[in-house]
Amino acid sequence: MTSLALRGLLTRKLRSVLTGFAVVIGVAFVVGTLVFTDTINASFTNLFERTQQGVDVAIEAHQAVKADFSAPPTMPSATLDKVKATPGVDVAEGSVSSDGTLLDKQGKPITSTGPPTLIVSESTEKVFQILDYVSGGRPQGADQVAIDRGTAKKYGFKVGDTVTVTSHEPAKQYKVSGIATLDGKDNLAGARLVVMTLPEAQRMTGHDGYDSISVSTGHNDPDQVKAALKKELGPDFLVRTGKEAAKEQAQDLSDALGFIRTALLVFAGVALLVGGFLIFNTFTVTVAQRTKEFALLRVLGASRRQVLRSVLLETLIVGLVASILGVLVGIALAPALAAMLKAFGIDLGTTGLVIAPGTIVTGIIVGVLATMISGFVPARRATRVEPITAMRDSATPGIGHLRRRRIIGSIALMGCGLLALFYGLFGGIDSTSAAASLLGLGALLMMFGFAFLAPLLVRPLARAIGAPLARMQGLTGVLARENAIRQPQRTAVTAAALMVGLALVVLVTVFAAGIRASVDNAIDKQVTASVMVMAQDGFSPVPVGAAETVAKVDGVRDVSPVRFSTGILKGDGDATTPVTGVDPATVGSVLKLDWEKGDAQTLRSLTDQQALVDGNWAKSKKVGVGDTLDFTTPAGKHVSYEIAGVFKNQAGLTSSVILTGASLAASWNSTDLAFVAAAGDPGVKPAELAKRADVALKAFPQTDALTIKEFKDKQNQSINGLLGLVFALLSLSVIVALLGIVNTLALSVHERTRELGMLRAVGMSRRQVRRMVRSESVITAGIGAVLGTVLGLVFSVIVSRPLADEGFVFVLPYGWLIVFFILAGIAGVVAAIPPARRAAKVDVLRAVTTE
Amino acid sequence: MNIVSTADLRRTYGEGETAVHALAGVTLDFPAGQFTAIMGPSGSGKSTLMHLLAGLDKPTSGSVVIDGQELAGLDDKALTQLRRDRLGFVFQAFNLVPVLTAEENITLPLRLAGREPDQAWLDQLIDTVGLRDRLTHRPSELSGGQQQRVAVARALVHRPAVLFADEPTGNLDSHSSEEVLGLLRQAVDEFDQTVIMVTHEPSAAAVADRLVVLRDGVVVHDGDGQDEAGVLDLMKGAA
Repeated sequence: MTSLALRGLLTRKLRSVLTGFAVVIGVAFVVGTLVFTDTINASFTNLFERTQQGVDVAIEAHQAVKADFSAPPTMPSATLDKVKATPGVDVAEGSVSSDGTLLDKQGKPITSTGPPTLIVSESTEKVFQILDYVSGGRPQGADQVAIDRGTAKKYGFKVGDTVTVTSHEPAKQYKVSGIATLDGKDNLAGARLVVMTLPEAQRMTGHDGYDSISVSTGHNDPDQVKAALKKELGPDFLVRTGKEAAKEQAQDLSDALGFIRTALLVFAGVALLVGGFLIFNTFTVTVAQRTKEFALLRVLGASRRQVLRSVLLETLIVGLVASILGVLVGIALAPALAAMLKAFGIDLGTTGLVIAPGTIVTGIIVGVLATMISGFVPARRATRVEPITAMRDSATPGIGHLRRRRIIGSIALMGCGLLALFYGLFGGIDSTSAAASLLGLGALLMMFGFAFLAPLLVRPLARAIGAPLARMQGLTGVLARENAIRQPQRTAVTAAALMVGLALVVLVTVFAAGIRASVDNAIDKQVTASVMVMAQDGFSPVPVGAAETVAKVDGVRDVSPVRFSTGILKGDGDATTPVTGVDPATVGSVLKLDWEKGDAQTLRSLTDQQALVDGNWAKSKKVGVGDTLDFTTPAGKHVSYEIAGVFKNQAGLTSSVILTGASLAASWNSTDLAFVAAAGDPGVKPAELAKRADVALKAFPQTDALTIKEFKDKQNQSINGLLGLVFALLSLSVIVALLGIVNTLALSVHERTRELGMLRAVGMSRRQVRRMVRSESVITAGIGAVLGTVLGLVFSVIVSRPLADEGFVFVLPYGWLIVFFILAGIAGVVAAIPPARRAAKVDVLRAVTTE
Repeated sequence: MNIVSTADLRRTYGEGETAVHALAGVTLDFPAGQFTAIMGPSGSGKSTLMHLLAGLDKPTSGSVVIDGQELAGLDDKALTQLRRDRLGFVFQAFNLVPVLTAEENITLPLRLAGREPDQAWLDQLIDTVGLRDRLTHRPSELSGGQQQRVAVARALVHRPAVLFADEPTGNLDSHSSEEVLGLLRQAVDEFDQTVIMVTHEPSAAAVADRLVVLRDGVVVHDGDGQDEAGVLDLMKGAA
């Protein structure tokens, strides 16, 4: 039986290859993701180890809460003196490292959503000097900087050139003193380096003191020195050996990047799921076509078990071969994934590939399992063939009269799916990953339920989609439509494969459109300012100086700086709460809030010991006006605020808790601003005001003054970028689905060889044959598009429910939906090319000759 | 007038020593309005001859002229058009498109050409084949005999220059066979059609006006139609 299975595969080469291809793509995606993320982790670990070279013990101030917009606490020079005085310390030196902005030769800030531009202080102690200067040398004095070779190459800077750098302080021009490499690498994992002398770095970044203190212990044991330092400095400091620090820094980064791995694996899973549909279909058809063969085997004495084993063995071989190929393709794919993320602005700057043995094993297991699971039902069907079938003339598989059972099964599956979805959304599950898994499970069940029902929908849908084709093309259109209905189950599964990818595309599109509409809506409702000043990249801080500059612009009436930070609310454990800091005196003229309790006066008279909270947030925390909120701030302080009013947030620009900006500056280490809103004098056009502000902001080139319309566009830009990435990743599963259409059509064409030959004999032209196959493909793709759109809309309605309270606006992106339909149609035409060509080539003579 | 004629038609499969001469020089003329039966034992070349006549296969040498049109040199498109507009076909099996109704199957050649059927002629045909009450049925709902009658109607719907029938009764019981043969006979007698039929059944050949017997790729008999006994005798001679 083994050799039979093998020979069967060889004789059906094309089909085996097509089936296998779906597995190859899925496995390749999984393996590519694993290799890619392993590579990122390895290169970061490597780099952090390198940056900690020479550092036996590293000291940082303890950071109670990590907050994007709050500077990490610094250490005063007194701390350094204390460290130096500690026994066992040979050399100790303080350093500064902070985000900054570098301008390119055209004077435009270099922005990216990937690694930042880092301003670092160059060490004066030989033992800590990790940079190798390939040309020039270390910065000497406050007017010089060194930059990394990667940046120098990319933006064409040479030693002696002038570069402009900015951070907390206004932009300043420096002379490039040298080009540096790090351990032979161009830069630090893609981050741009600007190396300054320590005092200049401290001045430019506004970091008063040191971000970290490096200690060399000479001949002393680092662990002993670490213990001594810990004792000396007390609990407000984080004291680690250099090795520990490197490891933990790398771990932090890889944790932060973990979502990329998860996201990529989810997309790989979707591609595999779609591939599963394809495998299921192919094996079902092959088994049906080989009914006679199985019957003959049974007549000759093969047991059911032997037939099952033979078919399963075929499945296993396909799965195994395809998985091995998938692993190889995946390894080749990893750099492509990096390139794709880079194209969407996420540059992780990886080098070299890390191929863990576990990755290969995982890839093969996943691929084989997916194949075996998808192939099991068809294999079981093969065992049900009665020996008598061998004697009968023809055995075309029946459509199945299990209508009622199908409907019940489908409803049960979809019901379970809905239950899982709702429980995931409203079940009050605290763990995000558990809720997300439930949502995924629910979506999966819904998809299967819908796919299960699909055969019953094929007929009406094919009629509807085929109607215009039949009208346009006449007979070929009619034949295409009828052929699509001929094997409803086969068409349904083929269409369902496309449905899966498209449902997710629709879900994401509707969501993105909703978010866009919500943001626009919130801005329209809340913002009364005429100009907003924010960082060009959309998320970096804005220096305080920028607000002062804008205030002096002619025509500006009021300027209100807004700060962001993050704290831990007492009783929340590790969970952080974002807060917004406003200037009560001016915020009223740029921002309008809707109130549940309180009014504009409450906002205007907000004191540094008071807070305003969002109504929904207050409800979930069970607090109200008069209650006290106790926060731990990024500065490590414990501060209490009394709730003075309750507002309605409605997906607005502020977070759920509003404090005064002065309080954030005093107790939250908030050195920079999130954005600045400016109201103009009556009669001044916003566009004119923005232009004037931009001119005034020359000293802060990393910022941008925007009109409200531009501000909205900017908010939407990041959504569009993300949308592009998701589309690119989902397109993979759509490609697998198209392979499914190719495969199904090829099988159908093969089955209908005689019929096609007869049609050709009585006068159907090749062109008409091709058109007929193409139309069938378009109809199948169209069914998939309808199913996918419906399912995607159902998903988005359900998933967006909980967000409705927070001001999520549900809008239907009609334009996009139409585009998807057209694309599905085009995809159908493309998928039909190979089978149509094959159908047109049918040998009339062979088809009409009866043996 | 000859509707179909061949001159020294040869068809060789394979090359060199293994070459098989399926047709080794056949020259025949088929006048209009005649019902010809082509017979011969297995491997005599009768099917090959039919395929060459119908432009489904290309001869190694020699020529085929149908209705004044030399087939050699016609490309696939022209041959397809010729089949669609000037030829009718009835095969042994797989005659009908399963997803179309009987009526749709009958009008298939016209609809492929994008033409409307001549309603009076269509009605006459449907009554002749006796399928008025089966028009909306699909082939799977028709008996074998009914299916073949639909095929005959389809082969006649566009009034072809010549109707080719390849073992049209091969899959039928004797009663249905008689019906189908009767229809072909009627086509010649009443509608002035030309029919060329390949068969190995003497009873089928007996309805023809003319009998051509092939053996080893050459014509061994070409004469008037015979009754069943006469055909059997001739076949014995040919074998």
